[in-house]
Amino acid sequence: MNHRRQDPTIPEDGFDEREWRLQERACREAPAGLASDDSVDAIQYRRIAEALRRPPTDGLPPEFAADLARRVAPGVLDAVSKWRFERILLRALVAAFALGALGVLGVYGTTLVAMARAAAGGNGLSWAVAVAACAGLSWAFDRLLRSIGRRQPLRHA
Amino acid sequence: MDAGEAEQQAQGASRDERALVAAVLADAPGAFERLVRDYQGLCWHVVLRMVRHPEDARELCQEAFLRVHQCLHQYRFDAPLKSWIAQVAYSVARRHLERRRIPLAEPSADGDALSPAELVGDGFDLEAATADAEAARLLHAAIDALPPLQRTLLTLYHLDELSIPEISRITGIAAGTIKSHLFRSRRQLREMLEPKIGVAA
Repeated sequence: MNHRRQDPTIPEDGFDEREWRLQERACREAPAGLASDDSVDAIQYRRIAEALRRPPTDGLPPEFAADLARRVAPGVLDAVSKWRFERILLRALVAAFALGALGVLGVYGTTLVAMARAAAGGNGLSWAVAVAACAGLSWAFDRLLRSIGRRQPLRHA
Repeated sequence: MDAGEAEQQAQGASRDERALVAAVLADAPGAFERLVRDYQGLCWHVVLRMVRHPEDARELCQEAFLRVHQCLHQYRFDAPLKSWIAQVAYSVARRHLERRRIPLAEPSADGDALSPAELVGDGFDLEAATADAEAARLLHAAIDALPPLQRTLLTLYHLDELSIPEISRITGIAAGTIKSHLFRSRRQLREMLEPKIGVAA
């Protein structure tokens, strides 16, 4: 029976059939205002059954269904799909440019570095690389923070 | 909640439910809004009892219905529509609790819930209060102090009047286990409140 202890959704034993029937009778009688049993247990279980039947005081706002229906309206969904498709296309374009740039660097990299070194002179190229690395790191850190923020569920007071 | 009712529920979706699902899938005007209106109460009970925070519950109800809309074509009419929707709501709420590392079947550890000891503490003068109103208040506080799973099972059984087999379908928990939870939770409530609610009519 060890597996019963490991699964928190399985309660420990201790079921009492007689008390269960008492609970069930109270559950049936409470809404109808009946009381076939005047024992202390029966009265308490009827009170508990009444409390459990009471709906929560909070509820969904009256316009909840209409708002949701507007959100899933065909036109709105089409617009969202179109926007998503455009975003995917844009990302594909950016990726293609990046690949192209890498290709150019691969083929003409040494020539470009030599030209840049000649133009900047001395340590100019090293400083330019350092500045580019800083900018790249800042950008990557910002993206990481945004991504974590998106994954965090909203907290409410 | 007897055998006959359970058998009826096992038959699957009613004709009205089939018509409503067909209308939603065909994007008929007003169909989805009607579906939400018909089942938002049940969804709210499930989610609120699981997560307890009304603001979170509202967002999760929205998420649940958006998922219902997205996955309605997967509904096979083999269970009543309300069971299927409650199942979606339960899984959305359950995942929310898992993300927050809130145990499903253990008393909540956050500061909002009253512990059983606080419920029956000295701060409350039962004799001076109106017996019924205060007993009800205590009972609701005690229900709130139960673990999310027990709260939800009690609500589905008592408030939404679902049968044990139907609750089993919604939660994926064995019927015998649900029965045991119901029994133990109700006994726990009685033991917790026995000194306070007494037997006065």
